[in-house]
Amino acid sequence: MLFVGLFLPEALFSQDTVRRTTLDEISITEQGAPATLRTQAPTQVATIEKIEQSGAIQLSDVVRQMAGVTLKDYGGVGGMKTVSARGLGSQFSTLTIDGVAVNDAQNGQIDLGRYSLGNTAYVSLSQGQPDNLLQSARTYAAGSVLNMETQVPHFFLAERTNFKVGLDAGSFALWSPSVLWEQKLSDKISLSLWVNHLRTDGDYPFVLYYTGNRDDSSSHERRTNSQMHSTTADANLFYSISSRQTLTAKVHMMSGFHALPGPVQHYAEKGSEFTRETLAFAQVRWRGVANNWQWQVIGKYQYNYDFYEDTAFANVSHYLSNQYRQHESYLSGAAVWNPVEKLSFSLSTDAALNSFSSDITSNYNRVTRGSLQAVAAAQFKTKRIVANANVLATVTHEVATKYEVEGSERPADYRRLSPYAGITVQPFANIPLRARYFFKETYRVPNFSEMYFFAFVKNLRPERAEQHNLGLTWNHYVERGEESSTQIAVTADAYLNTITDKLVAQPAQNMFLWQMYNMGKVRVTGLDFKADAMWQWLRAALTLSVTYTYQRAVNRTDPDNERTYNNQIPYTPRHSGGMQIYFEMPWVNVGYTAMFVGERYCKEQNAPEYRMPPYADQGISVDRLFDVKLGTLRLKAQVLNLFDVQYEVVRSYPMMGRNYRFGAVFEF
Amino acid sequence: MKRTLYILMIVSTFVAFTSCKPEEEPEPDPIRNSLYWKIDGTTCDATPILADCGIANPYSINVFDNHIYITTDGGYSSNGDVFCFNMSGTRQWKAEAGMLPSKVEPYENAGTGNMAYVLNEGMWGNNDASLSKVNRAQGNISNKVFSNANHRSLGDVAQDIVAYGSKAYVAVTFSNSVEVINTGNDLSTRIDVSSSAKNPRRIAAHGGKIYVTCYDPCSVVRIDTATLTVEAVCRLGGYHPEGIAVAGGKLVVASSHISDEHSNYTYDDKVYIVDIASFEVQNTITVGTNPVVVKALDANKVVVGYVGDYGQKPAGTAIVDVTDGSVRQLDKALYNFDIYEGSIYGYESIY
Repeated sequence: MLFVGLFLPEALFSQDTVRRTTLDEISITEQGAPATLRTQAPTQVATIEKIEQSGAIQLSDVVRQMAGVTLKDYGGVGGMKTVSARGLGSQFSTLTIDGVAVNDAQNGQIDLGRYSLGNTAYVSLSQGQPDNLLQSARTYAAGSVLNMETQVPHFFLAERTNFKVGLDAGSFALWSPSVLWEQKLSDKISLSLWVNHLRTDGDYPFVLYYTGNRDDSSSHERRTNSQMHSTTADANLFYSISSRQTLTAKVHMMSGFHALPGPVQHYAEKGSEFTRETLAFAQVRWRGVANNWQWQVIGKYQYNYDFYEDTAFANVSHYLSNQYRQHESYLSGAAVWNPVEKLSFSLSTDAALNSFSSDITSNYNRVTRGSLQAVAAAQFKTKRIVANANVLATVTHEVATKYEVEGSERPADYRRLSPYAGITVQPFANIPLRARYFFKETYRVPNFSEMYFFAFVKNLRPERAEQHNLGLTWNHYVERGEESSTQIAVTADAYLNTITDKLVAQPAQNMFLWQMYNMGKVRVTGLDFKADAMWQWLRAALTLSVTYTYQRAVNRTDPDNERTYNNQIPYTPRHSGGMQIYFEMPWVNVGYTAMFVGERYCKEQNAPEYRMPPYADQGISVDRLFDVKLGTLRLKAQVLNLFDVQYEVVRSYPMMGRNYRFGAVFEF
Repeated sequence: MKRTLYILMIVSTFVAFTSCKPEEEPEPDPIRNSLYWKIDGTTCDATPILADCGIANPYSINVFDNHIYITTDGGYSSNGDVFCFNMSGTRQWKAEAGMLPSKVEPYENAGTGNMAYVLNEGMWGNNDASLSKVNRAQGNISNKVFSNANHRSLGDVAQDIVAYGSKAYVAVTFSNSVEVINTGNDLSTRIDVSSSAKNPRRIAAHGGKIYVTCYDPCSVVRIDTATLTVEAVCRLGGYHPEGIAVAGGKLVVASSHISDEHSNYTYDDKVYIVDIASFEVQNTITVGTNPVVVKALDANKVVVGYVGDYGQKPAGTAIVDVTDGSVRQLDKALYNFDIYEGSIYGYESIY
């Protein structure tokens, strides 16, 4: 019963749900997962069903299956995992939870390994901006948007309480118990509380090859100092004020400990670095509709605390610790006005105040940034044409102070207008073929690390990205009586992205003092292809999903530099792809996942010594749903990296070989 | 409520849009400029050299055998080059080496002719330190000679190479190695120094011994070249030692800077004088903030390059007489330099 996830063209969706209705599926439609075949921005969605099928535990597990992304993975469950979309760099990707951005003003990128799945209705990735006008300005400002949508509780008949208890276990002492409790307080108010704990020793074995030639010396090693544990608690309030107004509130807390194994440095072992991190935020979203108006108000407060220590640092006390604190207060308002049929206008305004402090008193260690972003947007929408245009204004102002130094420093204020235009057309009324195009400019203000970690540069400019995307979507649905049906959905998008003023760290004349330069230029031409198909028979179903990405992401900085000009940028494969097969049968479900990543280079120069060989990572799973007293029980077993392929995504960070996972979910 | 919201939004949108203006023309990026100088070791007169060499990103300078060798940094994400000039500044050849070529070290060995090793430092965490070998006359280079001969890597960040006798000694900082390479066949024996001190940095050779500065704890390690074992360790005290040279029967060690428990740096301004016979610190000589490079000028004098604290305290170069402790400041702050026939050849830091 859990297929709908793969496809979200709404036409298919409704037909499918007619036959396979469950409350969960309706809840997905109600929560409005993006209709992937109609959006201007190529959008991929993984619903909870697909997430459960794939056995994903962390957000990164889902994202790595998507087309057009490069996941930088430092290995293991605890290793950092950041995503960059279409060669733009991870700072251009914004993670939102229920449409509200999770911001890291310090590093500008989010570790997707720190977000667990479990009370997520769906995860969506928009390569561009979502179509919906009712968005925060931050969402409009992002190069790509990865959204996690919290599951809204649904209660069957007279039930007032739902429980979902899960336990995942895996190799290297991976344990992940979780509990979801949903409570109906009244017809209008319900609550959910989700608590998850994740821990692993992470001491997986790997083969260390001492040169690029695998016939040369090698040794069998084990990753050390790789243990982690983290606890996440997520409480939600859902309040239907009326049939036309909703209020949702969320309090999210994550507290974690990660040992940092660091790069494998030949002949030496370190293993003395640790981080402890706390992320806490509270957000409220109020949405409503009245006549020809819609509005949304979001308020959020976020606190991050990172503690880093090295217990064998090369100084006198053999100890180093750094503390970083960030606060963010954020307010966003959006209003959509629909004066006549087919035409809507909107305004979105975000104001944010970010502050950062650290105990590194030799740097600028106290920074406050205020930013204002506003979007004016218009949309023309008919059954067969959707056209959007908007312009975004970004204004920031910031002040930095140094410990025990009088006065403050101010980098230049940033002010810029960035345009967007996009259109989706269905040329023939009776053929489900759509064409889409968008142009978008994205403007990325340097984050605090870029601004202050290196030598302070007052006139650092933001990175600018221009995206062009041209795509086609097509879907097909055939029903043969009550028993069988076929669904096919195909999307293909070609894109051209250019990045100018890319921020690059370089030594400022000597090795000890680096600074950021606006020196890079990158041009990305690419193609994303995605095909989903499902065949359904009376008591069985087969789903197949295939993705392929071609990316020619080249350095265009200096035509005179024959060693780097027109070379592929680091860690970006030209060819990559994936395949997922899921076969549902009455007695057991079987899944197969494959991921292929072509050759990459770890440096700007594409020389043989910096080449990283291609790899294929495959996995299989079996699972079954049992009806038991009180509820349902799903049991699952998985083999990941089935062929024990030894590979690295990031140089000197070996990935896990063959490993096993088992999961049980009991719902009642 | 709703009206207040709309008014607020319209006002802030107005503010945002009206304060936006076209991007100002960016100021040109600071051009990294280098000035190369020859400074006479006796008169301290400075003469500009290599005026039209066109190299703005030098990573090292070595002078020997009537030639000047400059390496470049390759932008830290591509291979660097080795350039060879004659003493009048005419370019002889250019060759692509590995990641961050940081030293050109000549060696003599029967049958190998006029050769030099090029040590490629590599980037931290990448294990891409490597060794190249170049024919000094023609500039024919072969890269990756260490891994080709030994079927293993040199390791992570190779900081220094010194050819001494029939061997070349390489300090590999984050692999805690001193590699002892037979210059005849490039085969190497690895000495693990981690039980004495970690993070080896720079090497000096004298009297059948190799002296290696190490960060952790701050010390000099003595290795016997016959037995290839660590014989003794001399603890220096607080700051990270860098360059090391022999003059006046002493070791002169630069003491640079160190981090406290919260990543705040404190800077030393001294060189440590270590008596070779007793292998103990004899005294210190104050030179300037953050000394890094030390090279022997003659039997009794060394040249010390210090890089300052990147803020208030400036960089500089000084000649230190080890016998009487006198310090003579030069009026050029050389970021990196080499000594050849009583003169200092180097390039300035423009910080």
